[in-house]
Amino acid sequence: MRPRLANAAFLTLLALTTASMLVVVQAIFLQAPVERTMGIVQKIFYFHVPSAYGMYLGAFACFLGSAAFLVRPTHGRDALAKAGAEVAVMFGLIVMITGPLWAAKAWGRYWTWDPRLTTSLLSVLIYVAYSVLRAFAGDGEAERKFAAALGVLGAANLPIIHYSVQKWSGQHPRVISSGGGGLAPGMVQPLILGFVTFTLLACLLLWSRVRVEKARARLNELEQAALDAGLEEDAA
Amino acid sequence: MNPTDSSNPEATERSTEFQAVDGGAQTTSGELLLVEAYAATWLVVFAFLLVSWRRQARIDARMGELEKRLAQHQG
Repeated sequence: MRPRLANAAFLTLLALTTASMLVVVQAIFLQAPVERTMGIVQKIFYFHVPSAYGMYLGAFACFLGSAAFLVRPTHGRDALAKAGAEVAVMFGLIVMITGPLWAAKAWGRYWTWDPRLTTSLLSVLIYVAYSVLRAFAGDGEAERKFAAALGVLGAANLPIIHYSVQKWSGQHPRVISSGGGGLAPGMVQPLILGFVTFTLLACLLLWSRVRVEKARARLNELEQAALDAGLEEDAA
Repeated sequence: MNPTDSSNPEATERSTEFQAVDGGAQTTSGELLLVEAYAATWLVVFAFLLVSWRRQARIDARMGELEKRLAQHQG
């Protein structure tokens, strides 16, 4: 994509995400009804669940970039994998903060070792490990391949998170997945808007991180050119 | 309301115990938890954007400097 076209598309996505954020906040706090038994704290659901979905999107991007990198290594694929892992960590953090805050009211405690909670925490830790590896283990070919393998293997936990509430008993609610009782009519629209908004946000953050990683690859090339030109002391 | 009004039973009775409204099980405000969760969500997103923006700014500055030096070297 041409740089000018890419910039225009990026700014359009940014504007769409911002507008969607404003709409979803209005829908959650002014339109969605208060839940009968839990009260207003249930409204955490409208950004807790879309955040979990955002984590899946980031993790999927990491898997896609990592698998593609293992087939044929390129800067773009490596950048997608790295950006995906960082986005997965960011959304995972939101899930891990908002979930316990809801649980404090609904369960009377912040945390239990419920299968979904445990597998979600495990997934977040996998992507934290990936990001730490990329930040501190150097940027050589072997490190990047090792990270790509972790990116592929780390995705194996995602279906386990999804099906954990169906396969094992636990406390985590099962409302919108199969077997759940569903939502009251006024709660469906804010949730859909939440999914749309967090999808846009995930795409925006992924794109911005890929741009940063591509710029870093270009910087590495320039530093190499500076070294070749005998400016190594300046480039170091 | 006049605090010395003897027709108001609340004003003349001395409290001898405190009882929780919801039976004592709930100690946390749902409103507060909702605000905390919402604030945390925004903080995490903004922290991510800030880190990303700082990385981009650092890379741009370094690239500009290197391009200038390379141009001077070639020119």
